Amino acid sequence: MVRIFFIILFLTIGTVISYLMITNAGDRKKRLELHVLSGAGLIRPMEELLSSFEKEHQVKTVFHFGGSGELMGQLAMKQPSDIFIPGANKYIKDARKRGWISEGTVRDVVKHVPVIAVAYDNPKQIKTLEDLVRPGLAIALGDPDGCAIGHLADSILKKNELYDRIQPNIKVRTPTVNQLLLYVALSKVDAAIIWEDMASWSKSKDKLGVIRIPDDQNIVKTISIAVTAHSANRESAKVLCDFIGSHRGRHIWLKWGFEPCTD
Amino acid sequence: MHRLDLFKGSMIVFACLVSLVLLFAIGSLFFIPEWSDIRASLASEEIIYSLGMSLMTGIFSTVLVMLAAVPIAYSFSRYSFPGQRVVRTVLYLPIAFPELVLGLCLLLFFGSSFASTFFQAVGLDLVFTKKGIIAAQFFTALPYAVRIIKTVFDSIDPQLELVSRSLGYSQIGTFCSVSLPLAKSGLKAATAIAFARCVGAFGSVLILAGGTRMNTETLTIALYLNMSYGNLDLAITAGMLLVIVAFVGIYAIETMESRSPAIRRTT
Repeated sequence: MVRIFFIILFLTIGTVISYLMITNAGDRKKRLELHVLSGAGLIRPMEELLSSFEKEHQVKTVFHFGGSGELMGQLAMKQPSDIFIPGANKYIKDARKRGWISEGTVRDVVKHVPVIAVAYDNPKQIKTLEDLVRPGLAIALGDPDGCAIGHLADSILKKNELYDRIQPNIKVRTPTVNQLLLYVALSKVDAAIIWEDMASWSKSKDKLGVIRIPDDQNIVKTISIAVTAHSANRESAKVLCDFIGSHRGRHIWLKWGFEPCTD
Repeated sequence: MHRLDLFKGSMIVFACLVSLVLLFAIGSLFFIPEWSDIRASLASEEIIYSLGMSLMTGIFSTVLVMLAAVPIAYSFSRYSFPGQRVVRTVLYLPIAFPELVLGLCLLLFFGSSFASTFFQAVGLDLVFTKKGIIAAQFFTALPYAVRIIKTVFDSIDPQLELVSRSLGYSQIGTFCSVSLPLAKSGLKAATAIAFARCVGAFGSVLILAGGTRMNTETLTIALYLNMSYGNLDLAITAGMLLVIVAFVGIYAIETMESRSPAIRRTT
């Protein structure tokens, strides 16, 4: 009986402590919280940017990484959010049309460049976009509605009149770009169209090869950032936006393989 | 006596409270959306396709799970062999680790050159295919089925099997006409749970079968895909269908449990 009592006591205390840890209710001074909705592909630079911002300002950032479409869903459901930075500015435009963006806060941050990712030693000798339609290849692309790169890959293929011919080679269409990286890195497919920056992290680790798409064939996107319309801390959110687009911010973007916009 | 009643009462109130919270959470799935939107979603090509895909793969996987689980469970229950505990632990592992990890393991294994040549030779291409959905569901649901059936076999008195043998039945004859009929209610419960697990499988299916829309799209994938498009009506509809499937499965078990004392010990 006594033992059971102690077990229950223990469990209760444990639950309360973990609850406090999760909700940060133990913080003596409650800091301002900024919620950041970020495209899943931007996770590395965004984490570094946010943590250096936190150190300088007395602000806590809570970030949610997801496919750009998923982030749109969160905006639609009016979940707490202050800053929106999706994988392509198409989503910023869409969100703006629906009135989810605070006017005058949109700014371009970096370029987002699509490349062809292939298995590390490129056993299928893929050199160009045209090679992707070669019979017998296994290609992975993003779902056109699920992630920015999926939609963009379709546009690039259509622009180069390869869209119909590549269809037999498409083995899988994934909801997020990260899944594409996984399948190429594990050689489950021969090639995928992903973002240059993502490919470059893995390339440096000898997980995959990167084939650039010539400028005249490619469609380069811009990543923009904006403060959301229902942000509760609009001023602080604006400061964070400025920081991410600042000279110092660009340094961090460069480090992770992104090309800063020239403006 | 008074103290006992207080004890009993607080236990019951607690059980009701927790289930009430859950009931409200599940209920909100059904009461928040507009019914006209749900009806439109139900008629959509994507929901019809994914429901059909879930049911077909679910039924097929469940049959496979049961065919595999019965002999496995029987061997665990009746025979002791060296390393049985290790074998059992390995088989039950997927219960404890995240489905995503299971999916990754299956992808690595079935995608490896050795395994893929073997499986492709027997006509099983499991990566990014509908067969892959079944493989993922199979390994997700198998441990649950084995656990339930083993407990049922454990509860059957081996003496009954011995008597059958002594009366001239063969081992197979005894198994089919004594052990299996005695375990009938447990087998039904295991089938229901296995089916619910198969239909509810997500992470393993997403990674192994890829989650391509209108191809390897089960209800759980449809829920995820549409949630990530911000298409909430379709996502909620898929969610409702999943709740209904789960409810039918669990309710079936609860009904059988109350009828048969044998599997009361499984829970």
